[in-house]
Parts: sequence; structure tokens; C-alpha cells
Amino acid sequence: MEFNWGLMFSSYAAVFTPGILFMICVGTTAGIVIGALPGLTATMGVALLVPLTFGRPPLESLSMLMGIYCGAMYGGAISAILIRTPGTPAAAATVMEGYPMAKRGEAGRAMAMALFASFFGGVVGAVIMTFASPFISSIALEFGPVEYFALAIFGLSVIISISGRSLIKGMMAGFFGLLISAIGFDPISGFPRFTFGMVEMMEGPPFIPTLIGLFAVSEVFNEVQKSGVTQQVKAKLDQYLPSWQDIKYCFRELCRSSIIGTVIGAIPGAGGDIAAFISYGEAKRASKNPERYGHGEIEGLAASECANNSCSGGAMIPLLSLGVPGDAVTAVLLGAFVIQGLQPGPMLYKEHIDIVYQIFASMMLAQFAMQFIGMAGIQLFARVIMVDRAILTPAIFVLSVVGAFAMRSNIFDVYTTLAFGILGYVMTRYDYPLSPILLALILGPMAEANLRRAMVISGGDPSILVSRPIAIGLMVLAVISLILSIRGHQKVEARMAEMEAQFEKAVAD
Amino acid sequence: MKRRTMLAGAVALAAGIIVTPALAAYPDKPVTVICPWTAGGGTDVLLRALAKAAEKHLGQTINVVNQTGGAGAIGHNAIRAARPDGYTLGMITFELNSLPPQGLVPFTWKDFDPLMRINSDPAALTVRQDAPYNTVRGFMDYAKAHPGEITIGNSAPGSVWHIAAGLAAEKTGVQVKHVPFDGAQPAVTALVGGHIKAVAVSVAEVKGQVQAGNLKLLGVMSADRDKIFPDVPTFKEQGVDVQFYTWRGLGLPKGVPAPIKTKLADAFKKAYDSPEFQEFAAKASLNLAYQNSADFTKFLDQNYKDVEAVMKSLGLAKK
Amino acid sequence: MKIADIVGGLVGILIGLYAIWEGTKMPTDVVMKIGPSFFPNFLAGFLILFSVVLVINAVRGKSKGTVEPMRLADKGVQRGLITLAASLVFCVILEPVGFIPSSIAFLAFMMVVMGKRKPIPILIAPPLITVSVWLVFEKILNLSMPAGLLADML
Repeated sequence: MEFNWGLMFSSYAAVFTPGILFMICVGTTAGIVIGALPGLTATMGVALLVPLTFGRPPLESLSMLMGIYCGAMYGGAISAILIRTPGTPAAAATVMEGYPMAKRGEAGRAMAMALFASFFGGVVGAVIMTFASPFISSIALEFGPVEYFALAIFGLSVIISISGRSLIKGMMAGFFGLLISAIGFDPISGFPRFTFGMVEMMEGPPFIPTLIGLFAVSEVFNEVQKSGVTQQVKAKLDQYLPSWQDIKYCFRELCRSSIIGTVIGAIPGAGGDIAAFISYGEAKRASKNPERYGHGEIEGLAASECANNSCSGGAMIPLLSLGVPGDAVTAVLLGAFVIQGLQPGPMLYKEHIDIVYQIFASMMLAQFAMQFIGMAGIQLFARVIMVDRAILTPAIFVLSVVGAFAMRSNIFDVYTTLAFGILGYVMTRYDYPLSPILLALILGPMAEANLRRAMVISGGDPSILVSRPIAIGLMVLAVISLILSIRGHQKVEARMAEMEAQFEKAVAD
Repeated sequence: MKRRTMLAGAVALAAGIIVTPALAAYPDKPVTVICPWTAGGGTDVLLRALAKAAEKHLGQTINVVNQTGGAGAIGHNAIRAARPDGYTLGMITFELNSLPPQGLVPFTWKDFDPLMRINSDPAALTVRQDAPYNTVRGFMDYAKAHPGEITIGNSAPGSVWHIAAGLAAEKTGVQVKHVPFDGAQPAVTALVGGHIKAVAVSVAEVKGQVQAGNLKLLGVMSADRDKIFPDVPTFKEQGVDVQFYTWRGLGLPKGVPAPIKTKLADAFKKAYDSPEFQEFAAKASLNLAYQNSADFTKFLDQNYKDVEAVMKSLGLAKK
Repeated sequence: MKIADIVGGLVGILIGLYAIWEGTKMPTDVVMKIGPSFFPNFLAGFLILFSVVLVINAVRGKSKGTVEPMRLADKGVQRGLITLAASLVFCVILEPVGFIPSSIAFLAFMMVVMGKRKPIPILIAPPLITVSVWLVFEKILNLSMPAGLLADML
């Protein structure tokens, strides 16, 4: 496919009209708010607003949906940083660095970096989508059950990087999470496992309520217990953009994460949550200061936010060029296209190449809209943590319950949230990290279902697992990554011990 | 104090409204339609389009609520257990007839009051464009000659498309491997990528890839040929007598007063006939197949018996 | 932390054993060799392995970090338990009573628990927060919250 510069300029001109720009801004604003609300994901946001586009012209509707998609991916970071609740699963890795930063009074710095990283990743994703779609999309189809299994294993190797201080406890949390992910219908035979006879458990514990419970509700219990002891956070909110130093410091990770994010986005079925975790793990592994991770390291925050936004550009690639959605959001978008009478895929390139270019253009403009609207919103959102804790903490609980309920309108999900809240509180108290559970819940089903699927295809012959080059490559990467992270962990341990010794010496003196 | 009196007043007011018979002015408040499947999925999009068209005929807002989970069991149960006042109804789907034989739910379609059938999509056998066979017969002969090689993807274990593929294989006596995916879309993607040999899903789900020339349809499991692909013969025409459909319709909880049911049926029938819904259905390549309450009831009865029999013979039903 | 680690390890072992025991009741798959119980068994094995290591480390006195003991006399612990009870009550009454009344009551109660004593904020903040959350979800996003007692008013 030749790149058509003339068409690209005319598409930008078509999008650059007040009406379309307005729709992009409306979509982006709605997306940021939806993303920031716990329980409402980018997928949910797009799904809820698709009906509003019935009967509107294609460009208008699609540009609004692009805005929602991009806005929601960033919006998730807002609540992740401010109230330790990943607004969307893709922001789960952001919590690990963003919340400690906010607790240190650096909410403004964290928010500015999250926004800029999202913008940076979004732009890189959109550029790659514009220029390299046909090339990248050829990788997407190479992914069959064996490759997905290998990808899941590679993703799971990040567990060590997110394990915190005790490797053993991190692994326990990880395997516990994987076991939880096995609850519900067996992906191949359909046998309901560990359901205790409950219909609600047949699809496993619902992901969003689990996420909200583990992070937000457990922190509510923690806050309540400490109320009066902890000081009100005095946040400096004078930042709209990250400082030049911060950008320079994170630049390498921004570049790397945006590439990782785009590629993972382009693989059908792997979305922003996986991209963010893998980028975070890679950033920590490559960092000169891995011991700062988990205590508010801005580089880790930038990596995860950058990856989840570049993922949206990546996920559009197989959707547009193959008609195969790259993640859950684009699966919903596929429906929205069809309602517009457009069938994404090679035919779209042949028959409606103008629409394809207009989507490129509106995706790019949505990034700019996100940056500007986000800047306007930073002050407003960041004020949240200045709110009196006695009001904020109970309000977070109510919002968590609402978010858990909204997804499926099922009271069972509210109890799930509460149960995982208690679990999260107990685990944090005794030094078990929570993030490995989350990673396991995301990747566990992917690993199992695809391993079993591969076995069905091969008739039970395990040699199929080493029969394909991409899969072998990913497995080798997983092993390397495991070895390097264990060595990294030992390095962190040594430095921490050194620091503690120095501290004790200083106290003794 | 003031707040307490206000609250007491509000409770009294609420209680007052509960006892007033709601029949006279039905509908005097928004109506809720339960969708047992995720927001943004095929069923959800169809229901939202229909609900939007029905609003002006009913004269009230219609809210679509997604109560998902348990392979549709939770949403269906919510419809069944709703207050039978006409303010809650729901979309019932094929799974209502495939969950009970598996012993997964304690209710059947008989616990519902069927309002109308909306669509009914046949399964279709789809393979890659470069496959060495062009007919259902050719496919089956190839499968016989190459045992253990044919893999057919479907949308989930025990799902409608799993049953359809199983039925076709059983009727022709070939051994194939069924590969369940997490929805029809990933199965189609795997077929395009060459990781499996065929899929047995609906025409709408493969339409894009067929038109793009990546996949080809070998046959549809319906009585008549498909409207979008009239060149594709049915299974029966090719000598394999298999018909298998998924369906969707509206259902009420048992016990809704007849006048209210009539009002709902009228409003949704008008919505069904409206040009905007018809246009939507055409774009989404849905095979519309309206049936009124009485016919839909008869259809469900027959369909339930058929599905149960097939699942038993395929070993998918609970022993 | 030593005792906490031993208890944590034992809980891990129990969960693992439960998963394996439950797995024995699952149907076996003769053709593909690995059935529904394969993956859980594998995971449970590793969970047990790491739990055992944790317990052994703890017994040998190698536990890391310290943890403050929980005392019932502690004001914070009391507040935590009250919150737990209040949140449980909130979840239970959510459906029958409805979102708006139960949320207002919960928020007001929790503000008192967290040390607010002035009546004005306690009267104003809960209804304000509740109604704005309700408006966003119910009216703008069209996601319904349990109506409960107010079912016929809203």
C-alpha cells in the first residue's frame, strides 16, 4: 500500500473543522472522566457511548469514539495516582509509582508526567499506525495459541520485578492470583471449577471489582485506621507540564515503552494492561536505580502510562487493516464501524481509504486534545487529595462500590470488592505485594486457555510449543528476563541492606 | 431534625406510590431491558438499537442494563426474577436452551413469558480461501482422508457454534477436533492466521473476511440460502441434512398482566418495523426473523427439545 | 513477623491442598492428556512450594521486616473494625434500601467515625456526594444503581 501524502493532508483538513474538533473534544473529555471513575474502563466508555453515534455521519461518530478511547486510557492514571485506584486495568502498573509520589506531595508532578507520557505514547502510536500499518499487521496474524501462551509466560516473568521486597511472598501472591484466575468455566471443556456451586462464580471472580477491592478498598481500611496519625497531604499543584529534567530523565523509557506498547497493542487480544506491566518491568530492569521502584519512581510511572496510550494506536492497526480488533476496546469499536456501514479490513482500504486516513488524523488530534484538556483538568482533579480525609476516604469507598456494581449490575460484585478489600488490607499489612495477583489475573487465563488450545490442535503432543519461531523467541526472552530480574532483585537487596546499615550507623552516632 | 422529617416524608411518599395500581397509566416511568451479554457485543448493540426505536412508540425512556456473567445465566435469571409489572423485560438468547441441559441453571424457557423473536442466524462453515476444498462434501471427504488434521474453531465450549459443528460432524461421521475460543471473533482471527482449519460461526461474524477474500464459505446450516451470499449453497442442498440456528428474542417474567404485555408487544413490533431498525439490521447483517408471542413459544418448545437431544448425543449435556 | 510468616505459609499450603483436592473431582481428558485440573494442580504445587520455603525461612528466623501487633485497645484498630462492620452493612442494605439512602447514611456515619464533629459538613457533604455520583452514573452514563425504597420515585 503506497502512502498517500495528498490524501493525508486532505484528511487532516476534513478533521480540522469546528464540528469534528468539537466531537473529538467532547469524546476526550468524556473519556478522561470515565477513565478516572473506578470501575468504568475504556471499553465500557466506548460501549456506552456507541449508541449515541447511531444515525450520525461516520467521521463525526468515529472521531468522538477515538477521543473517548484516548481520553479514557489517560483518565485511568488520575485515580491511580490520587486515590490508589486504577481507573482502568491499564493503569494498574501506574499505581505502584504514582500513589507513592502523591503521598509524598508530588501529585502535581506525577499527574503532569502521566499526562505527558500518555501524550507522547499516543503520538508515537498514532504515527506508527499511520505509516507502518500494513507491515505491523502482518505480525498480528502470526499469533496463534502457541504464541499467545509464550507471550503470557513472557508477561508473567515480570512478576519478579513487581514483587517488592520479598521474592517468596511475591511468588506466593502470583501463584495465588493464578489459582484465582482458574476459578470458573474451564476454557476448553467448559467444566465449572472452584465455583462453590455459585452461578456468579462461573466466569471467575469479576476482574474490575477484584481490582478495585485489592487497591482502593484496602487503602480505605488502611486510611481509616491511621486517620489522625497521618498528615494531610500538602500537594504542590503548580505544574501543567513535567519539568525539562523529568522529561530528560524519562526520555529513554518514553521511547522504549511507546514502541513496546504499540507492538503489544497490535497483537490481537493483548491490550493496555499487559503493555503497561511489561513496559514497567522492562523499565525497572534497565534502570540504574531499581531500588527506587515501588517508592514513587517517576520513570516507572512514565513507562506504564506511555505504554498504555501507545497501545491504542497499536490496537487500531489490525482492526483497520485486517478487520481484527487488537484489544477489548477495538472489539467494541468494530461493532461501531459496522453500524456505520463500514467493514474494517482490507476492503476498507480499497473502498474507503479516505475514512482510514481520517481515522489516522482524528487519532492524532485526539492526542493533542487530550494533552490540552488534561492540562486544564490537572488542577481540578489534583484538588481531590486536598479534600478532608474524613470526607474523601468514605467517598472513595462509596465510589468503589458503585464502580463495582455498575459493570454488571450485580450485588455479588460488591461483595467481591469488599472481600478483596479485606484480603488486600491483610496482605499489605504482612508485606505480600498485590500487583502480582493482578498480573496473574490478566495473564493466567491467557496462558492456560492457549496452552490447552495448542494441545487440542496438536492432539496432546507438547512439541507444538517449540515448533514456532516467535513462540521460541518469546520463551527465550522470558527466561533471560527471569534471570536478569532475579539478579536485579539481589542488587536491590544489597543496596537496601547497605542503606539500612548506614542509617543505623547514623542513628547510633 | 429537618432532614429526618424530610426523609420520613419521602419514605411515606414512596410507600404511597407502591400501593397505587400502576396499571392505569402504564407506562408512567422508564422501562428497563436486561441484556444478559456484555455492553458493546452483538446482542447488546442489537438490543440498544431496538430499544432506541421503541422509545417513541412506548412513550417512555427505555434503559438497557447489562447483567452479564455465568455464560448468560445471570442475566436470564434476573429477567425471570424481575417484578412482573411490565417495567422490566429482557433479551433472551439461545443459551436459555443450552444452559439447562448442561445442568448449569435451575430454570428453562418455560419460566419465562416469551414476547417476540427478533432474529435467527444460521451457522455457516467457513474455511481459508486457499483450502483445497470448495464444498461441504469436499471438506468432509478431506477430513475422512486426513484423520486428526481438521480443527474447527468455535466461540466457547458448549456454545451454539460448538453444538453446530458437532452436529455437522456427527451427521457426516467424520472425526474433527473442536477448538473453543473466547468468542467468535478470536476464532475467526485464528482461522485467518491459519492456526485452525475451519470455523462454524454465523455469516455476520465472517462477512468482513469473506468479502476481503481471506476466507470462503462452504455452506450455511439453514433452510434457505443467505441473503448476503446467495451463491453459497445450504448444507441440505449439498446432501448434509443439518440445520442449526442461534436466536434472540424478548422475554418477560411470568405474570405480567395481559394489557401491559400487549402494549409492550405493540411498541416493540413497531420498533422492529421502523426503517431505522431495519436499516441497522441490514448493516449488521442480521437475519431478522420476527415471531409473535404464540409462535415464539412454540418455537422455543421445539428448539429446547432439539438442542437437548443434540447436546446429549454430543456428550455436552450433564450425565 | 515470624509468626505472621508461618501462618501465611500455612494458609498458602492449605489453599494449595484444597485446589488439588478439588481437582481430583474434575473430569479427566484422555485424548489431550491435560484436562481441567492440570493447570490448577500445577499452580497449587508451586504455591505450596513457596509457602513451605516461607515457613522454613520463618522458623529459621530469617523473616524480614516487622509488623505492629494489632491490639483491640488501639483506637485505630477499633476504627478499622467499625468501618468493616459499617461497610458490610452498607453492602447488605444497598439493594433493598437503595443506593441514595444507604450511601448518605454510610457517608455521614463514617465522617463521624473519622472524627468529624461539626454538624453542618456532616449534613451537607453526604447528600451532595451521593446525589452527584448518582447523577453521573444514572443520568449521564445510563448505568442503573439499586433504587430500593425509592424505586417508584426515580
